[in-house]
Amino acid sequence: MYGYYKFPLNPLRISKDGIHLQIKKDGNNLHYERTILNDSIEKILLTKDCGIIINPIEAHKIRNQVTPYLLIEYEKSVFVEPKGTNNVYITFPVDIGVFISGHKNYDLLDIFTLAKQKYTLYGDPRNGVICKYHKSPVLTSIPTDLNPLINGVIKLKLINTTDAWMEITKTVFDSHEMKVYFNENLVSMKANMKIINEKIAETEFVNSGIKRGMKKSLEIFEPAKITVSQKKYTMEEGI
Amino acid sequence: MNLDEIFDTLIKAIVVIEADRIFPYILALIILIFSIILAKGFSVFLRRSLRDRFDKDRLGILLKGSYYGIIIIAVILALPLLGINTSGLLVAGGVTGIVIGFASQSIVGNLISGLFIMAERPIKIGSQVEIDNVRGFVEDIGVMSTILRNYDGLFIRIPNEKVFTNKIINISANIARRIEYTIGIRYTDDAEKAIKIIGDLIEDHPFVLKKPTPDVYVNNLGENAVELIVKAWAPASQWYTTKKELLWKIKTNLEKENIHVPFPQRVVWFANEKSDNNKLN
Repeated sequence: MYGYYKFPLNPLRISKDGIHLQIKKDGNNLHYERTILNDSIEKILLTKDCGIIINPIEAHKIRNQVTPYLLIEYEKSVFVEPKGTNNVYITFPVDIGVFISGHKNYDLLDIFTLAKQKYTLYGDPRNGVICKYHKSPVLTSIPTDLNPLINGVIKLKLINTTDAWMEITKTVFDSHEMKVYFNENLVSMKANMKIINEKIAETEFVNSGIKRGMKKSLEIFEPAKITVSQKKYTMEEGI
Repeated sequence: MNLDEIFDTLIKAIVVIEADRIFPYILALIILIFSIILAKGFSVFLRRSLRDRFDKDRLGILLKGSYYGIIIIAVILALPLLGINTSGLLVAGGVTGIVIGFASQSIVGNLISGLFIMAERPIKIGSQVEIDNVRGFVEDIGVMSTILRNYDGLFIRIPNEKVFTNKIINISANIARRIEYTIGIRYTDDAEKAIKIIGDLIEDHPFVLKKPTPDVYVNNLGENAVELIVKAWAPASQWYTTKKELLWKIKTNLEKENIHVPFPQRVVWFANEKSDNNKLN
């Protein structure tokens, strides 16, 4: 489903895993329609020639712009040895972006997800942040049974900078910095989590796929679109 | 003593006399220059400290006020050095101050309260607050008054003295807010099943936060109903919508499972019921 759909788009029909997406001619213009479960959206495209790009995108504020943060809670906690560095694989919920392209430019047309939407609070109500919530198993190899329209994989490098054993139960990311890569069967990201002490850690994304030949998704928070100044997210309310 | 010596002595005497006369002027000038430097330094300090707390226009007024205030105080201190008696000025100023103070007591109170509100920042523009039993959005925080837009869309001006001395509830200060319901079910209904239904609804609703962990339990065995308490948190921005949606979903889903909210009821037994029944038989 992911990829670039070239002009002419009339008609374009995509149906997969409960997603129904179509573009048809509406007079001199085009009419975009998308249905997923009980949620549907229609838009008029005032153009005769445009392309459509469907990409997995960074965990964005789909519903009512609540938060740019993603908290992934581990099904089982992980212990990292003192001064140790380990790679683990965790899953994340995929958001799907539909971009309209043409005239050497593109913009986000629609955004939706098949993944379950849930939010949580990281920290306390006074100083914490609202995060998108996802529960993930912690794996030592890339899972093969994931639906790339619902879940992706993060290769997470855990770096324990302390002289003590550290127990990790969750990771919080700032989606502004997400670098999503994909192919037909897999959506992925690569990230580091640097443990500073038992309460504080820093997370950052690495601009690379986890397999060779993976294609980079278009970014909503590209420098040209929205200015992003912070590169890392500091987890100050516990790990 | 020759003529040159007399001339030298005379010159020295004149210099000493002139120095005595000029000294107060020099001192006054030094005080003035020092006060200007102090005022400028204080303005820079205030600008840096209050830059984030005040908007540009109000900060400008405050800076100018403090700058000229310091210079005026310095001038008043320097005037006696030049032989000008300021006691009359001070008396006149004092009397005028008392008169103005009495006349504009509430105005000054509002002004000072406004400055304290701006410095303390218990509320911000855009916050949802309750002040003096008025609920609404803060539209503006002025030097003299605070403007609220209540939920009916009405413009409400509250004098700052009232804002400062009243209890302020800032509804949107924290990012998450708790939702709480009390739900009564019949004594014949399965309370555990009701708790599970409500728990599932909470789990399914995206904006009911995973943490702080929601809680549903039997809180009271009331006169007419078994009372369940539902406690859950939602993002402050979604609190109202979530509260509305969740309550209705709880009601409809409980009813789907034949769990109902009971009406108040009382069973009445008549003392002569048995004998009446015997007569009929």
